[in-house]
This record gives sequence, structure tokens and C-alpha cells, in this order.
Amino acid sequence: MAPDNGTACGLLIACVAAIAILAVSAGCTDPGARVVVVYTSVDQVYAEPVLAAFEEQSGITVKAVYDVEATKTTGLVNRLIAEKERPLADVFWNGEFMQTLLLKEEGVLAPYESPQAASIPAQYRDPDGCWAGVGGRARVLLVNTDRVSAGDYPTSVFDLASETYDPADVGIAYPMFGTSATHAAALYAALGEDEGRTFYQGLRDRGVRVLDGNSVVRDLVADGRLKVGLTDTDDACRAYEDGAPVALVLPDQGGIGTLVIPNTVALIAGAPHADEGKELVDFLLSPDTERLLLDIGWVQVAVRDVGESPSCIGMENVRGMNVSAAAVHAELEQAQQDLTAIFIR
Amino acid sequence: MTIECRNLTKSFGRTRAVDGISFAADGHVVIIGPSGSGKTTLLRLIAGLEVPDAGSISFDGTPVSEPGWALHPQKRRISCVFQSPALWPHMTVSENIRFGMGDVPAGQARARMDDLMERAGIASLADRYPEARRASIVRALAHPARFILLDEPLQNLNEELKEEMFGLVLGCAEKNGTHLVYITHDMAEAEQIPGMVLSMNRGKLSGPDGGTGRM
Amino acid sequence: MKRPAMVSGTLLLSLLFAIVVFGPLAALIVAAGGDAGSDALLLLVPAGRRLSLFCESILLSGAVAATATLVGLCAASLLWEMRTGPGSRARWLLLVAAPVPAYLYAQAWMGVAGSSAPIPLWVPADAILSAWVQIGAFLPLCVGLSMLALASVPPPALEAARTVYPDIAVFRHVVLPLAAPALAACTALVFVLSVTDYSVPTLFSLNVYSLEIFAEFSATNDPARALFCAAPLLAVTIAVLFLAQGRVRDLLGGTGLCQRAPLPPVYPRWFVCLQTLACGIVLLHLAVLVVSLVLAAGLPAAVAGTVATAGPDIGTTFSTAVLAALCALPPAYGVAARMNGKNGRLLWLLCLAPLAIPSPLVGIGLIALCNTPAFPFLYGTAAMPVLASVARFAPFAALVIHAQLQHTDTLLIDAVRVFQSDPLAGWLRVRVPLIAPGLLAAGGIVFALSAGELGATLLVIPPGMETVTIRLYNYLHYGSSAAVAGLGLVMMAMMAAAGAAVAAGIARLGCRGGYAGVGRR
Ligand SMILES: Nc1ncnc2c1ncn2[C@@H]1O[C@H](COP(=O)(O)OP(=O)(O)OP(=O)(O)O)[C@@H](O)[C@H]1O
Ligand SMILES: [Mg+2]
Repeated sequence: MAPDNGTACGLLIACVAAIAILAVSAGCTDPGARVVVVYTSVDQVYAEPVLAAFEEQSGITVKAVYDVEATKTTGLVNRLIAEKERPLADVFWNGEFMQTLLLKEEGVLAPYESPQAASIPAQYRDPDGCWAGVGGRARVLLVNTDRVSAGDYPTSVFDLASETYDPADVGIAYPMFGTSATHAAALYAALGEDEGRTFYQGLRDRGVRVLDGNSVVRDLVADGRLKVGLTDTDDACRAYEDGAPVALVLPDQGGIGTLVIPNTVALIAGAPHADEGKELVDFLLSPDTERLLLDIGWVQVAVRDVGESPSCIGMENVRGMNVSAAAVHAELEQAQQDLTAIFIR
Repeated sequence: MTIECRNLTKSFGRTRAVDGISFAADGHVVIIGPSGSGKTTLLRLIAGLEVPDAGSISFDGTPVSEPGWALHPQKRRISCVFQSPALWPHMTVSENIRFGMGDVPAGQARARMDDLMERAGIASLADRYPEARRASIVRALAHPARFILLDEPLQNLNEELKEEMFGLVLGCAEKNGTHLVYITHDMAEAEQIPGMVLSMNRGKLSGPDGGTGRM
Repeated sequence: MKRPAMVSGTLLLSLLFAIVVFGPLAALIVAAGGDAGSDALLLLVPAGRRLSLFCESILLSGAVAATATLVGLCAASLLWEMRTGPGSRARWLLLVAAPVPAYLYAQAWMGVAGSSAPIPLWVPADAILSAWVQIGAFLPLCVGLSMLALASVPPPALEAARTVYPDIAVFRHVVLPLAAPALAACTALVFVLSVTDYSVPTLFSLNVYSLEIFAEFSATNDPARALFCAAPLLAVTIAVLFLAQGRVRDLLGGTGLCQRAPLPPVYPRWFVCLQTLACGIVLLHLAVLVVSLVLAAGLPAAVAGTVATAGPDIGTTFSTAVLAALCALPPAYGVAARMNGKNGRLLWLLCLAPLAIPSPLVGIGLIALCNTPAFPFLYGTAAMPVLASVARFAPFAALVIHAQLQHTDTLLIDAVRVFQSDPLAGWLRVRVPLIAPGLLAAGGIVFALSAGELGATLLVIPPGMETVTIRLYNYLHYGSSAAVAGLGLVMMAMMAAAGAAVAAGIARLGCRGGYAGVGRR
């Protein structure tokens, strides 16, 4: 017999009561209102005003779940996969495209040809209509202008592995996660697996600093602890606009080109609020929204002509990397596994 | 070996547990009195577990307690039987007794311990209540001390054991020349201990001769 | 006459515990089913690169756990003596930093390290800094638990020893062994928290095994593989604890939580130096954190703005954490009560197993468990983040309550069974107050950990809802240090409120009726 049955029974009753209260309070929702649920990996600071604009325009309440970079791309995508049978989400708005392709593969996405997507070039659209890309960020080199004189700026990502810089002055984010992983997969696709691996092995052998995310790369370059770092345009532009002594370099304009990573928007298969979801997809893919994304600084490249670019760096004639999303996606798993072995030790 | 208390006072909040007690004793001291009269508090003051609010205590003429200062209990060469057995719960009975002897050399300790445990009838004991009471007495007796402070040591023992243990305590004190400070509710016990009797009431000494009885 | 069958309450509660804590895990395994590739089994045994990484991580976390507990204990032994006067209240303030994400400590210290002289290259600065920051982040927890551990030493046993030995010997031979169960729980807790945390090491460019798990997970999106990857951590944790448990022995007891200190202990100078040093370390960490947060937060108006926008999140976080604490206590009690019975040690170990599971896996398991037609009322509601926190942290609560139960006089329970007029009164007036300090401490820990939970909460939080921690991490990535600092201060304020409530609760419930402990038991 248990030593103290009375206490246990009392606590049991308390527990049941607490759970009952929880269940009742949780069940109280307003059934009349129109609602749309969006999962997004776009930084909350940028996504919130856009979603607020949608609410105002459509009268639909947006319920969002924001991803957190600290969970290393294991958050919302896995949630969407786990919820596949009974989804809560209507729309997935992703800050890049790799995970979206994965979700399509997992059968999480539903085809939807948004009328707003018609003006988007075909290379930014899924052939099956499961997703469409809008507004992109580019992978750029951020240079500290106090520590590097104008003539010595790097021009290529391969300069990071060259003798020009002390490896302690060069930083990249962990290439297994987020847009850095996409970048690695793109390099694999563009250069071939062996050469891609050799490049990263070279970075590792030289002892280049590997940091916890693009924002850390940005911060260290901005305050001069690094001379050069590889990061996303949204991060780089923030440092630039905050007045840090930095310059942005679009890498490899004379070579393989700069990687541009579009946002992707998709409708979830079996969405509980499919109609509202479609409305949100339309809104997010519209030229006005793309313009808004450029204005608030979340993206720096437009997928279609939306007028003059307000971005901190002229991106009008940027030469993109010539690899298809599918090709990049095909390399992702191999790249991630190689890079884990190279960098985590 | 003498204990001298002068005008000893200790309050807890508004309760004056010990209220201006003075006595000097060269020999055993027996303390009697109703519940809550301050016996335990007086004993704890003598042990150095409480610091007096006023007054002083000296052993053999050397001060050990003054207001705001008390010599560490360990340095007083005393041992205690507490009102509760206060055994160390993580040790067996024999470990308790051995540990309670402090730095007595190993060979000497063993003999003394075995002898006492034998005589107390706990030699074959495992490690639990109800013998905790006897174990705590043996622990106090085994320790080389000049005063043994006992707070109702024989409570909860049956008549036969009481007699046995009482004999053991007195015998040991006699043999080693230690003096007892002995709290009891039992007048028969009190009468059998030669020495001074302090009769306490509400923190003060009471009784015909100011609370201090026969010498 | 037939006797009615007696249903054991603690058994029911233990079953509840098993469902809540192990349910998600079981669901995960079932859902993952056979489709983990056969090479996934290779993940179970780290080899080559993984092995060295694994060993280094274990060493690092072991060092962190041991040092943090030691420093925490030394500091607590000094603070513990401040049982009267202003110190007696102020000491609890040290605990307010407990739920601040370790990441914020890391940032604060990066600022300090960045402004210091360059560190010579041969010093393994990343490992040392990373360990130092983790120690700082876990210290409040260690100090709190150590104080609880000291409280579990029965005062009569302490005084009996003081008549024979100098205080340092009493500390070594009586206090330490009696405080051992709680201290072991503390070390275990810190070890597990440290070994599963990659955020601090990666910030200092130090690779750890838990990052490997996340890399595996993020590369394959296969929870089964991630689980296999985490299994070795689990095994080591359990093995270490198993060895440690063999040394913990405890037979009788009482509690000293409310006892006044008649006579402060006199320790030799070296020990006093140690205590002071430990307190200095605790205060240093707290000061660096608070100063850097206050500096970064900027003007009070800016902080007010941050707090205002985060208003609903604060409410969500607070209520989620409070509910998690309340819901975790009963099942945790049920298990804790059974830990003294046969197979008790097994239960103790089993309790720790879920702690080494990466938090997103708990979230995915919960989805697999609850997002089914069987529980239509549960999934997608505010109950889910509560469940996630309970699933992750109820085991901690069980360990703490177990330590308390070790020191509750069973006679007192027997007495109330004889004397109670009705069970409710007996329960409210005696049983709960008797274990109240343990319950409150366990609840406080669950509260703090829940408030800072990220990985599992993110996966199950209903859309449209958000916790302060999620928002904080979002701002952290965005690089808005003022907002981050503001939210960090909010977390600390929240914890101060909860801490004050817990301390007051312990004083009111646990110490009712005069002078528990001295002479009368
Ligand atoms: N630590 C303490 N805190 C508060 N009050 C105390 C404390 N110790 C003793 N008292 C009070 O002082 C008074 C004397 O208590 P004490 O224990 O010395 O009496 P006693 O003569 O030993 O009683 P008993 O025969 O019941 O053991 C009592 O009123 C008691 O409530
Ligand atoms: Mg008494």
C-alpha cells in the first residue's frame, strides 16, 4: 500500500479539477468570426505588420504561429508534418523555399493557382501549383569598412576560403541550418557535390569562424570583431541602416552568381479554413504586398517589377545563381549530412 | 568541576523562557518543573546551543556564555541526551555512537563502545526506533565529557529498562567522574541523584529555598 | 463480509504521470514506427567523430553540473544562516534570474569578454566561457535547491553533532550526507539541462552533441532518428545517476525549514572564504545580467512600450506556467510517494529519462498523441502548452517532492489519520502544509522552467497565442537588443512575483505554529 493515500487522493481530485477548468476555458471560442491560421518562418517583426494589413483589408482574424530561429529549423516544418492528418494551419508563409519543397514532398501542401501568382515568373512557381515565391533575400558578403579598405573587398564567396583574410576575421553561420543550408545546397548543385564539399572543408580547415546564425555574423561584422561575413540581405541591410561601418557585396557577379532566396507561400492540404486561407495566399502574393515587404526591409529583391527598389543595395540587375529550386532541394540532405560531419566535431 | 549561572535570562518573543536564574553547583544538578517552565531552554543555554539575553555561565570559573557570545558547544566538553533521540538519520546505531565520540583514538573507542552497548542491551541492534532512545543515551555516555546534559532521558522506556539505564547513567558518571545536569518529571528519579535540585516554574527558580534543593 | 477493494491514490497519480510524461514519447515511437532506416540504429552508439563530440559534451556538462552545484551549495550554506533580519528575505531575490534564458546570460558575458583583453590562443576560451555562462545561468536554480537541501537536515541531528564536533566537521559528516538526495537531484537537473542545451555553446562557437541531434533532425525531419541520436545522452545520464544513488542513504527525518538559527555556525577561514567566493560568483552573474539588460533596455518609456506590446504574451506565459505548475504537482507527488517503496530507485531513474529528450520531440509526440479524433477538445487549445510543460518538467517536480517526503515525519501523517474530523480538513490543515515547502519549491521550479520553455511549446501552442519566451527569441534573431532586454526584465519581474509568493507560502504554510523543530517533534 502506498504510504499516504489520503494526500494522493486529495491531489488527484485537485488535478482533475484543474484539467476540467483548463478544458472548459479552452473550449470557449467565438464560433462566428472568420479566422485564418498561418504558420510563418518570417521574422515576427516583419510579418506582424503585413498580417495586420491583411486583417484590416479583409476583416478576417489572423492567428499566427511564428517560428523561432533558435530551434534550428526543427520547429514549424516538423509541426506541419506532424499535424498532416488533422491540420490546424491554413497557410504556410516561409522565408525561404527549401522547407516548402520538403513539405510538398511530404504531401502537406495543397495545389492552389492564385490569380495573383499569374504575374510571377514561372521559375518562382511550383509546376503543380503547390507554392509560389514572392520577394527574395540574397546571400551577401558583409564587410566591415573600418577594417577592410575599399580596394580589398571580397568579390566571391570563394574569397572566404582564400589566404586574403585571417580565418579568425571571417565568419559564416552554421551551414546546416536555415538559409545557410540552402546556400550550401545551392553551391553543391552549382559546383557539383565534390567541389561543394571541398569548399566547405577548406573553410573548416582554415579555421573560419562558424557562428550561431546570420544575425550573429551581422553583429560581429558590425562591431568589427570580424572583417567579413556571409549573411542574408535583410540582416546586412539592418546593420547598414543602423549606421554600422559596413558595406554589402553581391558575391560572384562575374561567376556563378548570387543566390537569391524567395519567400514562398502555400496553402495547406485539408486546411480547416480553406477559403480564408486562399484569401491570405492571394494577399501575400500580390504586388502590393511584395512592395510592402520591400519597404519594411524583409526582402530586398522583387520577383516581378514593382517599381524602384528601396533596398540598401542596388539589386535591380543582380545576376542570380543559375540553379533550379528542385536541383537545390535534391542536394539538401546530402549537403546537410556532409556539413554536419565537417563542422560539428 | 563547577557550573555557575548568574542572572541567566532568555526570551523568545514575549515568552521569558528563562528568567534571571542564578545558581552554582559542584556536582550533579537535577532540574524539575512543570511543562513549559523553561527546563529545556536552561539546558540548551548550558550546552551553548542558545545565546543568553542576559547573565552569564561559567564552567570551572571560566566564562562560557555571556550576552551576545557563547563558546561553541563542541569546545565545552559536554555531551547531550536531547528531548528527542536526535540520532543522525544517515548512520546506523553503532555509527551514531562512534561518531558521537569525536576524536577518541580508535582502539580505545571500540572497547568503550562495545562495553556500553553491551550494558545498555543494544549490542545486537539494527538501526531503527524504538531503541533510538537507548542509543542516544549510550552515545552521550560514550563521549568523553565533563558534563552530561540529559533532557528527560528515560521517557518512553518501560520500568525495567528505565531502572537499567538509570543505573548505567549513574554508574558511568561515578566511574568517569562526570557530572550530570538531569531534567526529569519523575520525583523518584530526582531523589536518587545526589546533588542540587533546581525546581523551575515559569522560567524562575521556585520552592522553599529559592528553588535550589539539597546539596 | 467482503472488504471493498482499496484503490491506491498514488498509483492512480503515478499512472497519470506515466501517461503525461511518457505518453508523448510512446506516441512518437509508435508514429515513427518501422520507417526509420536500418542505419538509424547506428545512431544509438556514437562512434568516430560523434563519439569524441559525445564525450566532450558529457565532460563539459558534468563539469558544469558539478561546479554549479558546488558553488550553489557553498553560497546557499552562507545564505542559509541568514534566517533573521533583512537577509532572510533578500536571499530569495537571488532566485529571480532562474527563468532567464541562458542565451541572455551568454549575450551579457559576450559583451564583457569582447571588451576584455584578447585571450591567449592556447586557452580553450570557448569551452571555459561556455561553461562559465551555463554555470551562471543555472546558479539561481542551484542556490535555491541547495537551500532546500539544507532545510531538509533535521535540526536535532545537527545540534547533537555540534556538541561533539566543530561546525565544519558537522557540515561534512551530518549536513552533507543528509542533504545528499536533494543535492543529487540538483546535480542531475543541471546536468540534463546543460547537456541538452546547444544555444550557449554554439554562441561561443563550441560544438556539442545536442547540436548534432538538431542537425540530424533538421537534415532528415525524422523524429525517430533524432530520438535515436538522443538515446546515448539518456543512457549516460541514467548510468551516472544510478552510481550516485548508491551512496545516498536516509532513514529518519524532520525538517529545519522554519527553524530559527539560535547560534550561527563558526567555520574555519578557508571555508568562509569559499562561501564568500561562491556568493560573489552568484552576485557577479546576477549583476552582469541585470546591468547588461538594464543598459540594453534603454529608457523606461521604451521598456514600457515593449511590455505593453507583449502584454497578452505576459498573461499567456504566466497563466500557462502557473497551470503547468499546478497540473504537474499531483502526478509528481504520486510518483514521489512511491519512490520510497520497492523499485523506488528505478522510478527515480525513470523520472529522469524524459528530461534528456530534445524538446521538439516532446512537442511532436504530443501532437501525435493529442491531434487525433480521440481528443478533439484538447488539440489546438491553450491546454497544449500546459501539457507540454507538464510532460517535460513534472519529473523535476517529482524529484524535489521526493526529497521533501524523505524528511516528513510519517508519525505526523499517522496522527492526522487518527485525529482528523473529516478528510478534507485533515488534508488542508495537515497533509498539505506538511509537504508544503516541497510542493511550493517543486511548483516554483516547474513555473520557472515552463516560463522559459521554447522547443515543445512552439510546436503545440495554439495559433494566435504566444509566450514571452517565443517573442523574446524572435526579437533576439531580429537583433533588437532593447526589446530583448525589456522582455528579459519582464521575465525576471514575473519570477520575482512568483518567487515572493513561494517564499511567503513556505513561511505561512510550512512554519505554522511556533517553533517547529527544536526539541519537540
Ligand atoms: N525556540 C523557541 N522559540 C520560541 N519559543 C520557545 C522556544 N524554545 C522554548 N520556547 C518557549 O519557552 C518556554 C519554555 O520552554 P521549554 O522547552 O524550555 O520548557 P520545558 O520546561 O522544557 O517544557 P517540557 O517539560 O514540556 O519539555 C515555553 O513557553 C516554550 O513555548
Ligand atoms: Mg523540555
